[in-house]
Amino acid sequence: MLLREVEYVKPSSLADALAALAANDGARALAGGQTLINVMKARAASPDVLVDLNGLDELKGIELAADGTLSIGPMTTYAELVGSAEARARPILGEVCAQIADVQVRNRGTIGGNLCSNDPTNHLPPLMAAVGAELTIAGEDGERTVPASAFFLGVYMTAVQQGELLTRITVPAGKRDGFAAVTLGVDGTCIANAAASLDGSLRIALGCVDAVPVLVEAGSPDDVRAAVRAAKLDPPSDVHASGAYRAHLAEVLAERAARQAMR
Amino acid sequence: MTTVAPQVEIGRSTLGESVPRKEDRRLTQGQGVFVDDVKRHGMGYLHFVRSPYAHAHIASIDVSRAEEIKGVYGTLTGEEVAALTDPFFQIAGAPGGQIKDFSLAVGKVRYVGEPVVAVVAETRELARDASELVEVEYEPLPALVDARKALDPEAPVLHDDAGANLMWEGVYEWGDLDAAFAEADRVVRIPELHFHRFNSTPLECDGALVEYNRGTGQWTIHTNNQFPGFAAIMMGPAMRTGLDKLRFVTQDIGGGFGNKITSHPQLVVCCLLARKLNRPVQWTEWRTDFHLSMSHGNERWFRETEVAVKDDGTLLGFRTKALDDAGAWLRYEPLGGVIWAQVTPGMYRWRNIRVDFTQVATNKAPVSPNRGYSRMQHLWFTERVIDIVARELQLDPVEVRKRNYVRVEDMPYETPNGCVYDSGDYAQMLDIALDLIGWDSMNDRRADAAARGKRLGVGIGSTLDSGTNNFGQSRLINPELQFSGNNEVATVKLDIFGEIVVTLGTTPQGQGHETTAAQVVAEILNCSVDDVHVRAGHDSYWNSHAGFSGTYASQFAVTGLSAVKGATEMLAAEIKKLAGAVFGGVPADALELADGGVRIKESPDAFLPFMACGAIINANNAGLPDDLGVTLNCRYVYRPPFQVPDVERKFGNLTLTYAAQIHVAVVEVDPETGYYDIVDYAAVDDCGKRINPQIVEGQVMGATAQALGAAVHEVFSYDEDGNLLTPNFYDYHVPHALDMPRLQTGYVESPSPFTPLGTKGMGEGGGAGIHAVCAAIQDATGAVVTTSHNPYHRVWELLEETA
Repeated sequence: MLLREVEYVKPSSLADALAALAANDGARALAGGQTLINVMKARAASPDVLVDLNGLDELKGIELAADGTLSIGPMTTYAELVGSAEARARPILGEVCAQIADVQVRNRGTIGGNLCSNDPTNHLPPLMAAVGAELTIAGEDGERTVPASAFFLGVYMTAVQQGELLTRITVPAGKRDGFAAVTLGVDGTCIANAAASLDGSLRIALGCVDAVPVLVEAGSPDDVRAAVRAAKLDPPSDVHASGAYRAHLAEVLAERAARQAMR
Repeated sequence: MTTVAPQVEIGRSTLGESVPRKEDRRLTQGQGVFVDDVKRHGMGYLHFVRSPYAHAHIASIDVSRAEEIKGVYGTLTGEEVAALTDPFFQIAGAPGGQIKDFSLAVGKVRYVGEPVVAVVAETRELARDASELVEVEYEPLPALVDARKALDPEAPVLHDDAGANLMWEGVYEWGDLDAAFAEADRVVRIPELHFHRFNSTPLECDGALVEYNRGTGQWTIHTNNQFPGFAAIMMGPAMRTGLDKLRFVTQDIGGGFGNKITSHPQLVVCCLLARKLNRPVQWTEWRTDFHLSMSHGNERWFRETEVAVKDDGTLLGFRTKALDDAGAWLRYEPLGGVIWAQVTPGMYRWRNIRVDFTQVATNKAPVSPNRGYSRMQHLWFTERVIDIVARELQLDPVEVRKRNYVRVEDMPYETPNGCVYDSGDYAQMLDIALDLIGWDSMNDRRADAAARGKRLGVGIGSTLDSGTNNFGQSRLINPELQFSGNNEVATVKLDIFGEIVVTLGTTPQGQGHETTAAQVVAEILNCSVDDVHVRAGHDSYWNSHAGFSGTYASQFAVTGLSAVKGATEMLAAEIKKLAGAVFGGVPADALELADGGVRIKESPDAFLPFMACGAIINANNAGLPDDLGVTLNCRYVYRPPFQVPDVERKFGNLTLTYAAQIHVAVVEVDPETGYYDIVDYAAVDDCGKRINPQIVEGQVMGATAQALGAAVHEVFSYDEDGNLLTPNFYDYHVPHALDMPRLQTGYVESPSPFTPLGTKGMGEGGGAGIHAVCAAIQDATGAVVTTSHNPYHRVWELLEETA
């Protein structure tokens, strides 16, 4: 309701989408719209062109390789991932997606949108960092793949540059994962969260405490709190939590996620 | 939920039955008509340019760029408003009464979101686009956000006309405080308690479609304002027009909760623009606008509280200094400065009470009534006092309550300030509530929670829902005011084909007035509820309203239904009078109403259906006796039995009925994070005679949800510059279905001896949930809870205090 006037294109191929994005610095990709449209309603952002990705089948679908690697199209909705038999190969993905907001949002919101918007309170940036996902980015000049640990650059900023799109999310095999959060209401916005994955050692990614997920490693759950403390977090304060409370939650939730991963 | 609408059997009483709601068919099928559904040819959409500053001088306003755009119909500025209207009438005397409140900011802005300019355009989008071209130059001033600093000499002053930020103050003292404190074994001191700012977030925000008739000089205001009588007396004098020129029309309203009482400034803007532009003007408020600028609940501090108690927990009295934060304008204030006194002692028998009440202005959104208005703050205070006293005396909060509750044998009970609690058995209600949450097994459950690493806490909230205001209480605020008593109107008629048509003076927002009114009519006319047609909504041209008509302050079950009862009894008497004449001089007591008509008791074959009655009076009346005096169109004004309160002693009966609520919450706190779940919850209500228990239960559940939202998540929080940090549902979290605990309800029916149907108003008792959650957190953490708002981070701080 009441957006500024905006041009809208709905390309039918990835190449057309990339061309449309490259053609105008004011062009923005529209995935599920659960963040972007609200931002536009508030007129906090006013793109010149919306490039709607909803017609691009190549950005959809979940494939499970023989070695257990999952390949997830970024336009997969949370609900599709929750319902996907393939995605059960890495159960934590569906478990976390099932606790994002409500049914309506899960039916529209996408995995790629969650990652590319990189709001520090989002669920999936720390989760993908913990599970060691790799993210494929395409531009008119070709494709590159970056690890999740290098994908998130700042608040609302990722390695996806203007004129590029996230085209594939690759999640390695594994089952020993955990996720813990304190949220604003049941399935609400995260006040703090932590994702953990056991792959030799414990890799833990902390959300809501910095502009990008903070990665810490620990040998066992007993060492997690010390590892978090060593990261010397300086989380932001806002109306929902003081920085000190978030720093405290980061320790508690990191340990909980780690213990879940060890189960 | 209601899914089917069975025919209600004729001739059987439905009072006390959950008759399916008449409103639900249209509402569940998307056929309701809300204000935003009202369209007119050529209407223009209004958008407000709002202040980005909490406090600033307006140096200049330039609307020329906006007005140049094709499709922009025009604008309105504060300068024009100041020329075309007078400031709104102020309820307060000096100093608050000296402020000059216009419908747009004049010269200065005083809170973020305050309307500064209105722009009207062909589309909503264009109105918003054009608003961005309005150039307003501000000279920012320091902002006052914390009410506790409002009276500091160096504090920025909002209203120069008032001289300072003090809006109203009054001392309330009853009984003998010195004697109470001399008799006390102990004085419990509570330095500071804080009741936070929130409101009830109706799903539908405010709105209006206003038409101006040049020929008659009359405005038709389609709006969801829930108290048109109040809006009219505010708007008429300001707009320099008679009230008959302001026609208010409403059908369905998507929730009000008091928050829709004070939209009169925005309605004036719509009226002025409808006249200026000679076209209908439409305004729909958005969520963020609503949060920024409309109807926050009163924020209140209670400072330097002292409580006189005996060692056995007997409460003798208290004194406190209440500091109320009204925000930037006194839209309904300072009535909150007296409304709390309806429940001065809470549910307890202490007789010695002093409250020094001070209300100040701050650079925040203006407050307005909010479900539980002003009583909720005070009852939260008394409940906090009880639990803090119990903690200090190491007594069981249940026992302290039972020792001090007003007892059933004391009813009707006159409070220290002359209010009369009509009926009720609070101790019995508490027992029912405790039973519902399994009080007897609570020690086992505490142990079980502890074994899972959780801390269990139980808390009680006891409240009164005082209903049917005596408006004479306004004189305790300002002795010059000429308001007193209360009234409500209903009209019941038989139409030409015998249709029973009921017109109410109220503006329902989901309370099911059409249904309960029909139940009362059917009871008296001995017909089916389905045969009673209650007009939806409100239209002041129906001539079926009075000065206090509206839907607010827990009163329909008393004022509205009593008016319906009175009008229907008049109609029943007229039907018998008519039939007596038609039957050739049969006296009324030989007749009875039955089967949709009137008949002679002794010879039931002599039967005149309502259709015949309606037809005779309206269309076939030749030969009827000259002095028959029957119109079959009966208007009745119900006037509750009130006296004008004693202004000197601040003494008198301020409301007619006192519904009671006892809520009990059981929480489990995660001691590592402060996160907590409400794992069990019971709400027991006593609202006297229940006309429709399902509607009562719906009110209880909705009010409880709002209370739990307020207790855990909802807060209008401002930064030090006066920016609202929770301006919409991103950060202002209202409870969703998944947030709600398993909610068990119970009831007691203690009919009011003071009302025609034994009913009591009951819409506003939900604040008990806030009190219960606070008490449960205190129980779980062992720390004294001093604020009404306890999100997880606050609970974590409490845990740190006691660690």
